[in-house]
Amino acid sequence: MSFSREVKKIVGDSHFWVPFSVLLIGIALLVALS
Amino acid sequence: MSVEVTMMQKKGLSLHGLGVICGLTAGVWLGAAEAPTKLVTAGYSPFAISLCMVAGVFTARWTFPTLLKGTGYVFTDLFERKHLIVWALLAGALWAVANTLTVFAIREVGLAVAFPLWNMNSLIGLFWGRVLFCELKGASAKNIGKVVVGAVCIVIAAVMLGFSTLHDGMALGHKPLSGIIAAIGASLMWGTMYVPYRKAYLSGMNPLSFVTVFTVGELGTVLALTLMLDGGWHSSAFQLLHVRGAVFWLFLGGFMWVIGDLFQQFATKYLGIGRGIPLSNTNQLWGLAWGALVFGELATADHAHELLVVAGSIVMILGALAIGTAVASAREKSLTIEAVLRECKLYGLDHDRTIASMDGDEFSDRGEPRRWWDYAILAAATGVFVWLGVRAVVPPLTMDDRWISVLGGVLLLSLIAGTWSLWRRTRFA
Repeated sequence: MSFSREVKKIVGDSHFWVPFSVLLIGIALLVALS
Repeated sequence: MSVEVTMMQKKGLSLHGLGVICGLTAGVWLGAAEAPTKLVTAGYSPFAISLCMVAGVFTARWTFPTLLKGTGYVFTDLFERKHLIVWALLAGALWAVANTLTVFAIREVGLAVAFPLWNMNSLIGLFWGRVLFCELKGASAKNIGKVVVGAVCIVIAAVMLGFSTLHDGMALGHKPLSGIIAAIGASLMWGTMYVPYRKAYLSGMNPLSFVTVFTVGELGTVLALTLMLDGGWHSSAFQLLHVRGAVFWLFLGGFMWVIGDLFQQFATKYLGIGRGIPLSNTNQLWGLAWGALVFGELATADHAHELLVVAGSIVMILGALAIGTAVASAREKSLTIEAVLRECKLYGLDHDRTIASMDGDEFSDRGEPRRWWDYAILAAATGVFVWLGVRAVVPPLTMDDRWISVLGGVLLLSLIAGTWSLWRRTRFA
């Protein structure tokens, strides 16, 4: 329960999606370049 | 509110002054971290070099930083703010992906084009600091000008210093557009990596706790990238780990990097990312100093290159001075507290305690004593360095011993100044 509550807080934080999206972009770039 | 008043009234070194000292010390150590890696001259892949260095970073985290705050403290801190474990892993992954992108960028377009692009990371950090954490909100026009102009000066100076090390005949790849995109991607990632840093410190986390998880994210991601993109288990990284004569230098580079990063984290904590990143980006100056003075990399430089070094160094110092004197006003600080309140509300943190932690004041119940296993971990991590060190082989490179002593002295002095200031003002909080 505690774990899912923490996850909900994190994904509900609009700030989280900034670095997470940037990380996905970076991984996509790496895959495309390699 | 009482905590805030106490914080304002505290005598001695200001938190701004402490942040500036930490930022500049970070620059000295992050710049010097490049020096030991120059001793690994054999043709290993960049992934191999990166993986060994990050393994050194991970091991170094458990050497003397363990003495500053023991594992009991670190794990209590982490479990009080569990959500930040995810943020720290995210930051480590961002660092690793950015570092790998720079490898591609250098290969395709060379340092001359790639370097200016990824050095824009401080401006991206400045942007996120303003948009997400209200940094510089409520600041006077003079202070905003100092921070923005100072950050731009440091970017320009870093580019000038980067250009000074270039020479004709550097081999480039055949996909310039891919290289440029990779460099922009690295810049975006290294600029965004500071969002988790700032997030952690607005929540009152100790940088030593954050770095602990950050190094796990960093090592895990570099390992995954090596396995995916560098030939899997056949990567030269795993062969390099068995070359004892070389591994020590990469571990030493990792050790110096983690010290620099710790100070960078404290700078972010006490200055914010808008001011903290540009100051730690002065590492370019120190990296060049090691390259030019110890390894004689500018021995054949012409007047134009020498002029770039002098002008770049002066511009960088002026940029650091501009940021160093841009002290946040009471109004700017009060708006930062709004950003803290957001974190407290969202994650259920204690407001007074968070404000106190964020400003270097902690409650006495956090002062847990070191346990026997702290000393065992310290001894094991140090043992790894000693074991590798006695087997290290110095390659036949020309190095200036006199300058090694001088720059080694600067490292030591900056470490003493940074550590002493942190201990006096915050007891490493």
